[in-house]
Amino acid sequence: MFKRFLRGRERKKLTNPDYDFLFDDVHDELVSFDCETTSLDVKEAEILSIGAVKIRDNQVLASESFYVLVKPENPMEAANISVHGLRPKDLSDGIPVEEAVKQLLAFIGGRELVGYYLEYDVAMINKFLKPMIGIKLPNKQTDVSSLYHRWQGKENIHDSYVDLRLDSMCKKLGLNDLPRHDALNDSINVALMYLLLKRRLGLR
Amino acid sequence: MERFDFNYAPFDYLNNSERILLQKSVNIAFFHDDETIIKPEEPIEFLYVVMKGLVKEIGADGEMVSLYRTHDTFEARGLIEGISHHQFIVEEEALVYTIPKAVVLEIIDANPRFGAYCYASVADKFASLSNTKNESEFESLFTAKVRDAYRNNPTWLEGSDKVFHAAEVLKERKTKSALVRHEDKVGVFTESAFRDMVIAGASSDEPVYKWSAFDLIAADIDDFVFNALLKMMSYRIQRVVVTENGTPVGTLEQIDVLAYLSNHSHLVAQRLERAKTIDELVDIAGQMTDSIRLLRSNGVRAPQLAQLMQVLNTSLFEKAWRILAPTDLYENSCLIVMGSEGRGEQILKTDQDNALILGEGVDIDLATETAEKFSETLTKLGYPPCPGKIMVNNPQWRKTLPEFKKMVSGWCVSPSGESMMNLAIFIDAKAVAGDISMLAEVKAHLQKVMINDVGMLMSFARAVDQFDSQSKGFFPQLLKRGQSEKMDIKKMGQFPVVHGIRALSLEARIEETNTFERIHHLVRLKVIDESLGKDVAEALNYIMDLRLTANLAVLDGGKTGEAPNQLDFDSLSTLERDLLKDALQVVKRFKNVIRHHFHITS
Repeated sequence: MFKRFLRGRERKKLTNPDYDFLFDDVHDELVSFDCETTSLDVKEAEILSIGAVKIRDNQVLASESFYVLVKPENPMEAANISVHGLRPKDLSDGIPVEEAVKQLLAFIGGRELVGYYLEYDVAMINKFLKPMIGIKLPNKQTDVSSLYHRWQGKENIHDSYVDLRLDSMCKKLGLNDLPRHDALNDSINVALMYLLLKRRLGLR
Repeated sequence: MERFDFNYAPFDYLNNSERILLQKSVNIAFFHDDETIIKPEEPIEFLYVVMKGLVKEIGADGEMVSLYRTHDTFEARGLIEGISHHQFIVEEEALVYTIPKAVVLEIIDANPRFGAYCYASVADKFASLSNTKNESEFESLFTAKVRDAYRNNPTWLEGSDKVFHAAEVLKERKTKSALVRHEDKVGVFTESAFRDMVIAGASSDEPVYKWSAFDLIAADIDDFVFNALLKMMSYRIQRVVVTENGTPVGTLEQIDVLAYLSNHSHLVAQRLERAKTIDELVDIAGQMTDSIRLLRSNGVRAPQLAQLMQVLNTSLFEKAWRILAPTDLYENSCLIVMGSEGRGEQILKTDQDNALILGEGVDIDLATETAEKFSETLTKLGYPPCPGKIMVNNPQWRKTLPEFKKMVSGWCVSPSGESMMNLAIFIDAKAVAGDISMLAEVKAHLQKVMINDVGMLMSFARAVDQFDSQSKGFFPQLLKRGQSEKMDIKKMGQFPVVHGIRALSLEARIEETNTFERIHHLVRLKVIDESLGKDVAEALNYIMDLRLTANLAVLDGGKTGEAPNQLDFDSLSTLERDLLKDALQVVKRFKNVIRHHFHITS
């Protein structure tokens, strides 16, 4: 009830009616998404790339995926480049961040979002979204780390510590040998984790 | 940015644009334990590639026929035919790539190699595998040293020897050239000298040095064979003298080079022919295993190797028997080899299956004594004694011609397990020394006594199921955790084919003993149809290859105590595993044909 009320209030804040589709529920699909950014501080960070992939039933629809490079507004620091592997040259063909966010919205529509520490990625998008259309992402959100925490909690009741680092989670789930560190590959991996965890927790 | 791993067959055949097309269209599906991916008789929309986990394939009869793991592809044939008759069930949580049918068909259209892999009949797939091994043949041409290929016991003549004497020596030594010592010089006297002498009208009393060449063209023993060959070509000569530290030690003939590169065993055959003592034979028998390794690494396939070994073994046995047996015994007896040796399908020396048919009136005591010596000698030559004692030193397998015939007809009238096994071994018999007509007589006798004995043929053929409990267990066996993933490739793969073909050949009265030749003959007679014959032959071919590889690995590891014929499933590449699965399917199909043909009910 309360959630519906909040959603309704958000909808009224929408300044651009073209984006009303964000409130259309899509029941049978989700979107796993990931951003590569220049830092972990939402205020100063810039988005470098966005990757997203759809999930339907038991499938990761890698064929229906989304990937854009974003042209940063400030020069990048060398330390970062070695992490995400995106050189200034690679990003020179990137699109402006507003354009990237618009395309992402078209891709995700009203679908539920899945991610790893999703809160951060959503905050990054919201930073640009709010000035654009007056609202934050209204989509439902599921974080694989919380699913993982629930699953591990079931597994070892006596040990309260759960290692939630992405690498550890991948390893535990047997997904450790997949390629990583590219926003699309990470979103595919997270999607695979979501399917595995959902199954292990006996969720429909 | 590749998400799909293109580093294995058949995806490594794809070009860049095909890879992009596949990459764009591939999805990943997640299936939990026991979930069905493909139902039987259901239209197939995707080509599946296992990313993680384990998928089993269940045949129409409910038996597991195959197992798929990381990088394995299914169900290409079903996709092309529209439906699969088999069921695919997840054994262990699986992530699988799904490539849409339209994309697979588009790639097949554009890429014949990829298409061939998907469409390929079993036979074609095997053939494409053998092509990939060609490269190593060239390698040996460039890496072989003169030391490996030359003849190390050259024939020497004195310069003053008469040409007539030289002719006698060359003939006796079966060689085309000799080195000549004359006044501190070394020359070479060759067969072509005789041609020149005839043309010149010279006498055979002339000294050899007059017709020898002393401006020697030589190659160092550590030089490459390739360089020696270049010298022969540029001087247009047939041979070079081989020198070690400048001293002539032998000759290298063009024919030796060819023999070495195409078939190292040619030299073994030559040495066998010249051997005069058992000790020499022991030495040569040891060399035969090296030959197998070399030929194997040059890409020669198991059945061809086996045929070659049969030729060599035959002369080895013949030679040993000739050395041991007094002339009278030799001429009045027939030494036969049976089982795999008789069929020409034994590559490594696994056992001695042999027998002796004696002519009437031979000295029985002498025969007994010689047979004992022969069996001992074979052990010395590296053939382990046969566990079933099917050897000439066992009186049961050393009988006079009438007794032998009686034994054979006895097997037919009382079809017990043991007599059927004896019969099976005997049917493959091949005479190697002495009066070979005796074996022909026993075989003719066998044909007479078993005219149209349907019951006997059925009991005979029944043995195709002998190791069935194991073959049923093969794929399920792999599912058991913690167990070593090994299978007895001989029992599960080779035996049912060899025995089924043997039973059909016995019924059709086919004289060939080699399984491949029997298959050809059976196809000619339309006993089995051509495509089955082709598939069975290729499957057997491949199984023999795998068996040889497994057994060589045991030899190389020095683990002679280890059980032979154990194939380590994990050591196989994806393509090899794929082919093994296909081969085992063919074996299964063939066994059903045999059961049906001989009305075997289980």
